[in-house]
Amino acid sequence: MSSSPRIRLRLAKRGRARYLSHHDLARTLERSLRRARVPLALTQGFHPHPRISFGGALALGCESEAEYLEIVLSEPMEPGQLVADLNATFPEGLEILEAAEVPGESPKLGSLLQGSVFEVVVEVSRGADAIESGVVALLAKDSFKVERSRPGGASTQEIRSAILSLNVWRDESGYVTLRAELRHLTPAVRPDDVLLAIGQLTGCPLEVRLIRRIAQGPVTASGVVSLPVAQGS
Amino acid sequence: MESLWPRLEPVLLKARKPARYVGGEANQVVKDWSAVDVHWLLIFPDVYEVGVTNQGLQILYEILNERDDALAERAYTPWTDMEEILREADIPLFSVDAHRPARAFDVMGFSLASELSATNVLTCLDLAGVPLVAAERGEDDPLVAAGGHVAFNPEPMSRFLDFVVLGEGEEPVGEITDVLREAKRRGLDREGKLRALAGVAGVYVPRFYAASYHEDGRLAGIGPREAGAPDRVTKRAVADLSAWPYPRHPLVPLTETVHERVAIEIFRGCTRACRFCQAGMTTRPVRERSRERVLEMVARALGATGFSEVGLLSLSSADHTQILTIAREVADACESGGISLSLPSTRVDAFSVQLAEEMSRSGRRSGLTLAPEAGSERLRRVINKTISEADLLGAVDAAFRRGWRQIKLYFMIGLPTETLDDVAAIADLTRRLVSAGRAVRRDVRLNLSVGCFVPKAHTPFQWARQDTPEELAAKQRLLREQLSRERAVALRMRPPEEVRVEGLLARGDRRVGEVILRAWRMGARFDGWGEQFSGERWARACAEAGVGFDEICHRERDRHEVLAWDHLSAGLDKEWMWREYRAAGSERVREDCRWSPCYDCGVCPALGLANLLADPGARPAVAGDPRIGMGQATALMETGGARDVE
Repeated sequence: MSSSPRIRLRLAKRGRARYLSHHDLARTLERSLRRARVPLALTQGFHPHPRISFGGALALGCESEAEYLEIVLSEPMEPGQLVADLNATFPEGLEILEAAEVPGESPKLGSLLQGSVFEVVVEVSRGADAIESGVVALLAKDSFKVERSRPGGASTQEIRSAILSLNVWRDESGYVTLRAELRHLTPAVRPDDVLLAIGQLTGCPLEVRLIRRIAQGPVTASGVVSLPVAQGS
Repeated sequence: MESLWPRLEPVLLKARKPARYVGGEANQVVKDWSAVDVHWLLIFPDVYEVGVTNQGLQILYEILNERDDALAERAYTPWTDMEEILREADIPLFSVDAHRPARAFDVMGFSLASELSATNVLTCLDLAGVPLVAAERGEDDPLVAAGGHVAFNPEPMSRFLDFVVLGEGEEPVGEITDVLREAKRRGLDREGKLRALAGVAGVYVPRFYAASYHEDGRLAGIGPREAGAPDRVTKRAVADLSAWPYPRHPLVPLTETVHERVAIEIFRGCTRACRFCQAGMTTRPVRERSRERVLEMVARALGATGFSEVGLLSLSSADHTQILTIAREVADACESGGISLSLPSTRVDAFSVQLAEEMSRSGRRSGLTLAPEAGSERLRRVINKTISEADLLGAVDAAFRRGWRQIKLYFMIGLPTETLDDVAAIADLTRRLVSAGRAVRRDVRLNLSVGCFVPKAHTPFQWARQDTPEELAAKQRLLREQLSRERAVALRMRPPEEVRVEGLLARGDRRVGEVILRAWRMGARFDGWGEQFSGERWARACAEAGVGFDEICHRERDRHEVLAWDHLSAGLDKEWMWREYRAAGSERVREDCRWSPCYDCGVCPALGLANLLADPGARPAVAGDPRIGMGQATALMETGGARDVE
């Protein structure tokens, strides 16, 4: 172990924690790390702060099984212990699922997290068939633009190029789940943009119950591969 | 008690900042509903990010939750968008801790910290499904209570409140819990519970008091009409804060709030006797925590929260008798962890700057705020804010030399005896401070916050006439004109209409309740939030209720006139306050009773308390640390005017 070990962690965000913004989450993590007495390395300079880096932001209201972050420690700490200590101090809804030391020269998170797998639970008023036909229609296109409203104003965005795959199935409870593999682009294409497109193509707007990120990692020929936390695996 | 969460969750993402409503903070406590006897809902009637940091509420939350027979949860006023969402979905007001419906609690206790949150109290009650007017509540409704600074004149709110607690809540909150537990066990009805509560020292039950009026409408008297209700209710105060080291486990909000720090109250009370200051007058005497206790509390709270800032709070933190040692030791303890320190203080001298310097050693340099309050020395003698211009110049010079680039300055306009010359003196003084700063560095900046004075109950200025909005506007214009060419100065001022409503709520009697009710029905919400406020709405509510601003705000009260809060006491002798009012008129200053003989304000004998200093032998601390290079010490107590002779 190096003297300033770099630890990569995979974090779940569930239940009421899904109402935390990216900014809220960063703040909450930093405080939880301090409460858990994890020995954090601080940046040099006039405003010393802990060295914590995050993968891309998750939209407010989404759950996740695959948020990634890296922290730099000031002294070695066994990752299993770190996970136990941190989970014991976390507010309800946050949980570290795994943690491991990564070599200092490993690529940055941002370059490894190239795509995400989302599951979107949809309330279906007019049958799952409409969604299926919408998915087929969307995949058949080379390009598709949606008009989206954001706090900063409305904008038009091409979304088709972000879509790696789309799958739809219906569960026993009657909800329809859409599984979307999306490439991370700038600006980001979000699962609700995809639903907007499907709604437009079918003329049947969809009511989202829940969006959950289930994996995040490099994009390969076979799609998004979940980024392993431990090195070499 | 069932949770409203399943009903809330489907609509929550429609709200702006949904994290306001989810609770789940580190150190929140959720207890088994059926395992306790008394259920308190503690409510701060403002938006979550303002309310959650409130110290008083957090203290009571912990004290109550430590008891086996009680639980406490919290609620805040839903922002206007959420109010609509809740009404639409027919979801009542809920606690953020376990999302239990407000109406299920035994007590809804409001912390009243600002007069302008009056209408937010009504929003909370209405959303809870509890009748707004206390007399209309039934056996299934909670008791609606209030405490906090504004509760020292609860009369405008009295028709909405079942009981009021005067002063510090640490002790009475437990006594009230005992009474309610017994009352429930004995099956007492609402009236019976209130009768029992009227027997708790510091508890005021408005409905047991009747007001009478003269033919001209002026208040003739107010007194008990129920056996067992005392003629006069006196505030509560703890003798020694070391028995109450709360909060031990401060809440750590999940979303951004107004203060992101561990707040440690290093002392309570203030004996500086600034004549405008309600907090200073109503929290007497001074009770300091010892250096050891402060260090203990800092260490525990940092460990329990993970915050990276510590604020050492009180009404004038630089006045603590051990403040230098405390600042040094806390800074030492924090140095390695990247923790920054702040110390709000109303004191204005180089010593404050020396302290600020000491505090910024460990991390981020916090902002520096100085509060001269008035522009001329004459007017500062009137309000008994006894600092000289030399103090102020010394402080500013020291600050700029030590590397601060900007300083925040607090002033007030509309003070008693104030003339346009006094107002112009604020601009003159500011210009002199700018030049003093420029002598040190070019890029100085002064941020002026100029408030409008509002006379408050239980202060020597409780008899004073409040300026009209027109008068205040003229003074604001003058300041703006005089400072418009000063590029180093930023000027912030409040809308005068808002100030007038604050005055109405601060010194009004029971009849103002009708105004509040009407203003709320016309849509008044979050009146303290500038953009939400409508002066026209309040004027209309006053007209409809037959209540005049002129009568309540814009006239000097007579010495022998009955004041709406005469049946309530902060321990202060009314005669003493009158003498102080007169002394203000003749610009006589009053010293700090920690360092000078007692002048019989009345508080200590009324409460059986005394000033409690951590270092009883200490003299006022002064700037003298050679590192600051000030040369000479600046006296803490500058007696610019004649001594007060009775």
